Amino acid sequence: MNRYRRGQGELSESKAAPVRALLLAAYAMISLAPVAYMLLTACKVPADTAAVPPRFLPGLSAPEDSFWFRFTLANFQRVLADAQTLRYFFNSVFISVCSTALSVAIGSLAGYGFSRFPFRGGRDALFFVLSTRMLPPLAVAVPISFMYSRLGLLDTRFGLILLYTCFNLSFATWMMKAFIDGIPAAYEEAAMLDGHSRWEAMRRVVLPQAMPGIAATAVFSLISSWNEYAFALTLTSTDAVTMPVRIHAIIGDNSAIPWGPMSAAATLFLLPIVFFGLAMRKHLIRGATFGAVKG
Amino acid sequence: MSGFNSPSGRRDGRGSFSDRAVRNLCILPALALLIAFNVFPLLASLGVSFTDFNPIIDTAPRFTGMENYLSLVNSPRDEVWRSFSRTGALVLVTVGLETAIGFGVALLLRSRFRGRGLFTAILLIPMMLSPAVMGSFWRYLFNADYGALNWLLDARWNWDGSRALSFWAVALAEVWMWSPFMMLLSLAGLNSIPKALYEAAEVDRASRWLRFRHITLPLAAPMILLGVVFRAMDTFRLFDTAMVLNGNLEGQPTTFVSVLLHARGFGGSRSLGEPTALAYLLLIASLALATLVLRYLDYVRGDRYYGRRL
Amino acid sequence: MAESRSYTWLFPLLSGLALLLGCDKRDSTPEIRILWAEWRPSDALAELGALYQAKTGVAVKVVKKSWDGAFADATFSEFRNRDDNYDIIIGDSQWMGLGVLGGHYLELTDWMKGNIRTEVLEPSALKWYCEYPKGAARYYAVPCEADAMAWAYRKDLFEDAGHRAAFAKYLTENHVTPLFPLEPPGTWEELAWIARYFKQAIPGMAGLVMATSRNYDMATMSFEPVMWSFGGDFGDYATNRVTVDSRATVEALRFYTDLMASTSAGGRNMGYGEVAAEYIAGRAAMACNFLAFFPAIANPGDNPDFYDKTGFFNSPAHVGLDGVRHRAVALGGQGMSINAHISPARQERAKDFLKWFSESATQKSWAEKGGFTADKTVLKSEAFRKAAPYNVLFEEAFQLMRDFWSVPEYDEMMKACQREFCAVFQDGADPEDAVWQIQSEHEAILRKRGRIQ
Repeated sequence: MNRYRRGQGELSESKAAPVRALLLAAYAMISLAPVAYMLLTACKVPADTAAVPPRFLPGLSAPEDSFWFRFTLANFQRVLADAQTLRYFFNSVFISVCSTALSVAIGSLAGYGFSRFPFRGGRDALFFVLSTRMLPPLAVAVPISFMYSRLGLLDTRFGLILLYTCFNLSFATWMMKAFIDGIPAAYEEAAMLDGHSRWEAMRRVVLPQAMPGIAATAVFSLISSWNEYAFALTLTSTDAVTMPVRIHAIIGDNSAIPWGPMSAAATLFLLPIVFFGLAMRKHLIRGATFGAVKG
Repeated sequence: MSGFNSPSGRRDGRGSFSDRAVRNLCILPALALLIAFNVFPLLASLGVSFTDFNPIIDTAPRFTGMENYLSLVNSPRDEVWRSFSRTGALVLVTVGLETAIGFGVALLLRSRFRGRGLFTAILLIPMMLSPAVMGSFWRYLFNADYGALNWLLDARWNWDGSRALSFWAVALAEVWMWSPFMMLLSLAGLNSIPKALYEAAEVDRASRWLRFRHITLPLAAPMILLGVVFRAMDTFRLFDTAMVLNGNLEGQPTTFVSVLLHARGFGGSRSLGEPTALAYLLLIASLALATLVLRYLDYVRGDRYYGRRL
Repeated sequence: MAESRSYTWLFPLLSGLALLLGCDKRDSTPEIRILWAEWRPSDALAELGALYQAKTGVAVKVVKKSWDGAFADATFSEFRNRDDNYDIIIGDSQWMGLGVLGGHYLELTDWMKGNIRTEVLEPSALKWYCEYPKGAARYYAVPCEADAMAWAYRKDLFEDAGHRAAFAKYLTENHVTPLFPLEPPGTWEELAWIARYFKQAIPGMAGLVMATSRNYDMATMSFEPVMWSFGGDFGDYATNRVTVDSRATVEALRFYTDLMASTSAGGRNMGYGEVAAEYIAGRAAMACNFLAFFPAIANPGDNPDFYDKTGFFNSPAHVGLDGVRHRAVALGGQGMSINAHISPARQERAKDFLKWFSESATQKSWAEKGGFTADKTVLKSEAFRKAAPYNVLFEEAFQLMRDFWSVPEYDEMMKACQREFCAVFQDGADPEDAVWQIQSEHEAILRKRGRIQ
């Protein structure tokens, strides 16, 4: 518990600062080491990926028992050489951005509705929203692929957008409800007393306050639709294929050594979402700006 | 339900919408979409779970009553029950660690320092990686001969192969990937605590422990518990990582419910009945688990409506 | 607050855009869609498809799905929904029963008589890739990728004078008679001694690596040749009699468990890709893998250190308990089937492609592009035999090929084998219990579906 107490400083505790920095640095190192190693692996020739000891230093030659590996960009080349990769990449961007926008929009509305207008059966409705996330994907994959086959949604971007919107909706609704619960209703009421309509009050008071929530929800939704694999696999064949399917195909390619190209593909695929996370960083860490009404 | 005391219990003075209409407009799109996409699969699955339906071989489906459920409950070597207990153990271990680590790091991240936003965003990288892809990379890190992990530990442990370690290999990969999720939610919870409360506590000369116990924990709890609910549900149906690391063989320490589901069905000749019934058992267990956590959430917030203060 | 206004309008705008652009249109030009796996032969087939398009104007699109389960999922999903997403399915040999008995593969028996020169095809390829049930002379595919498991070995180590002398000494010390030279082994016993020798002679070097992962069918596939060479078998595929519970299979299991002592630390749970990775890193003297993997091993781009120091041999033989010398290789590879759920016009279009693909001229360029042909005229040609160091293995392999069950229940039967075999190899379970368990489960599965009385 010591660590928690020490860290709990909204109030200045200059003595604790170095310890805190040390702990954070240690966590960051452990947490990011596999990612760094992936980056290195992406630049290795196949033979060096299986060397003992593992090789960490990029170089031109790889003497026995050293940490040097032969640096190459061939893995990236191989991933990008596939004419389809760009198309799949576009699919991934398009599908995840659209489904994120939809699920955040619909989820925010629903979160607002559940938060501000408690009603008989609202509890059950909320629980239903949650329960849609409980069935294992494997179990719903069969009926959904049947449904899509009959509706002509197989292998369409539209189909995946709808599906991912649904997947993220339960999280978006709950998350937004939790955030909006934390925004005192008094502010809206004041705005409405000032002559604004409810919609205006919502947009001008609630929405800006809920931005950290919207940012966090958007990040989670984007991450989960960006990385979704099981359904993209069964519901697409050529036109709407997304990158995780492509990367997995590289891994499963039995006629080559998987580690290098796999790491290269995963690294390339990781970059856009990291940029998105960086772009959202201000919102993610911003605290509540409203004050003392609560508590 | 303790009533309809919405913030504005009267009609909106200007707008033409009643509260009820606004509420419906807000909630119905979400409900409609979820119902459209979930009711058909749920009902279809429920129906199939009472038959020996196999669309690949295409013999006429036969109604078999509770047979699928009974054969699951009475499965040889208690495999189904054991898969549930393995899954439960995994949920406890990983969600517990993820919450502890995530909350701990979030506490450390509370203080303002230069580049805090950048640092936070970078810490999220593990969870930004595709689980399907990362599972394969962990297999590489865990490799007994040339894996980086064994080299670090100066060991020749068979992480993804041996009975002793394969469960922990999956748990390690999961905790690594999802602690940032709990960190982000904890941070959101911590950020929602008004500073004024701490200032008031300072005036009262409350000890740090008291401040933590009576301000930080209860006020951050709803967000953290929300994270716990979603992590627990996702871990309950964990598949990718376990499958990639240790395959879908029955009777392994990593044969979780979803893995068993994969092993038992969807491979062609078997009927869809038994795996679908298993999925329903999992659904029931998840519902029970979620109810339990939500009750606790209610208790923490001191009301009976999922976190809403009435 | 102007900022918040922009957010509000972003959502409907994006949603509208999604709806507009999301309505993906399918073009209606004539096209043959082929479902296959993600690997190099698929790229070779796509190249052939480009030639076909140039010749006939019909586009050929090869949809590649990962071997990691995705290929099977896509195929079974197509079967399950009776979809017409693919005209041609190049399904795994074990899926024959599912495709045929479920009515998903078009029967080609009559059509083949006038259109395919079956006399130039290797008979075993026709049997394992196209016929169901085996021996019934009814065909549902033409051979496409003819694959089998074989061995790669480090020629530089085997030919090294120091190792040869040390190996002879090692055999004498261990009272092995008769002595044999350090060469590609002719029997499984020799293979085992060579593996043991290298494991103890070079630190960090595995004597052999094999794909014995718990995943899918790997452990079973790798064990099969040993079982058959010892005289054991899964059963009689014509009558569905199960014969896996035999002394020969038990002996083979014991031998195979011993063999695994010569593999690497993680060698008991390796996949095909990992086997190749170990070999390419120079950490194994011998590696067992599918022929489809050997282009990577014999190519300086993928295997810079040992591509020219590698030799190849087919699985060795063994004199079984019955006193007969057996030899067998495990079959991989696929036949090319037509989806029965597509329209008659598309079926005709697919048949035209199958006919063109099976012509000897096409098979020749198929082999040149890296595909593995079953056409004898190509296999016997000097050009083919010289094109790659492992090509000479093919002809012999065709005579030795055997496969697992291909009844629709193959998957359940495979799961039983995987579970019990892995229990023996990895957890030290009793081989006699294992084969008894497999025997009874296999019989129960076949009986339940009425395939045996």
